[in-house]
Amino acid sequence: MPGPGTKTINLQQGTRRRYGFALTPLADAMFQLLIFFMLSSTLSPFSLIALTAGAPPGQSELQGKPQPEAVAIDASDNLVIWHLSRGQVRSGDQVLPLDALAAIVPALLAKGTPDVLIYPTRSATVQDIATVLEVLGARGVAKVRLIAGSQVGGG
Amino acid sequence: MRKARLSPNHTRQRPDFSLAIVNIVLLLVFFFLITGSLVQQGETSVDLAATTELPLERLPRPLLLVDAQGAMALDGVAVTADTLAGLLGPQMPEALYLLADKGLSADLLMALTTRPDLAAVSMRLITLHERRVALP
Repeated sequence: MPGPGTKTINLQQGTRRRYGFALTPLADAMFQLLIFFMLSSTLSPFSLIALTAGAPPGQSELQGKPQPEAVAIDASDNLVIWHLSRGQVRSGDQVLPLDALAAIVPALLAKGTPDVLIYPTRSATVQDIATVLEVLGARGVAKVRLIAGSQVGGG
Repeated sequence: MRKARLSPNHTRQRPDFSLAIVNIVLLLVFFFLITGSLVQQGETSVDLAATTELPLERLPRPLLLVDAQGAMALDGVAVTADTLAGLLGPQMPEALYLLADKGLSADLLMALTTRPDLAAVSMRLITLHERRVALP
């Protein structure tokens, strides 16, 4: 029996302690992830232009032999030859700025499916190639060939 | 005797906003995961050619960085045109993505795309999509 002045603590009958679900660590982890993705990623919108066609099966075993279809040019009726310089295209004796290229594509398409051969000159840059391929591709000109190593002066 | 009409004294519970914050941050994380592309240091250094009409794409891999002078790096590793095929390995990837500077000479680009040892790889030029500016 406890004596006078002593207290009895009953551990069994105490109120049950409630443990709440702490969201603060979760929020901290989320912020860490957010900061990581914000710093390490770029939201720049990119586009892709195919420069070469997909390799046919077995092409990797050619070991440097030139593809016959890459050098043979069909003399089709609607063959268009452009010499690409910095910011302009020359077709025969006609020189067109790249900004005006979109306007002449419908006329080419009206004659039939054009086969466009592009000879980049020494002054041409990657931006010029991208512009020409974009204009032709966006307007449905499917057959475009870039002729490498032409070493054509101009521009 | 009048009865007190006041309700018994109890502490007013403050609303917990932490769950809402977690939800919003999670949505932001998803946004950056879906729309963003992870880039390595130096890959944003080149000035890309701009296009306006092509559809949007994410930054793919393997990525060949070519600066205006023609110096190249494959996924952050410096390479030359001669060592590129070896670095891509015997099992060449289906496509190689070119992050080329817009001022790079077209001759250099064409020389790269027509290399016989890279004939099995389809090359694609990455451009920066710009919004078309509406003329007044």
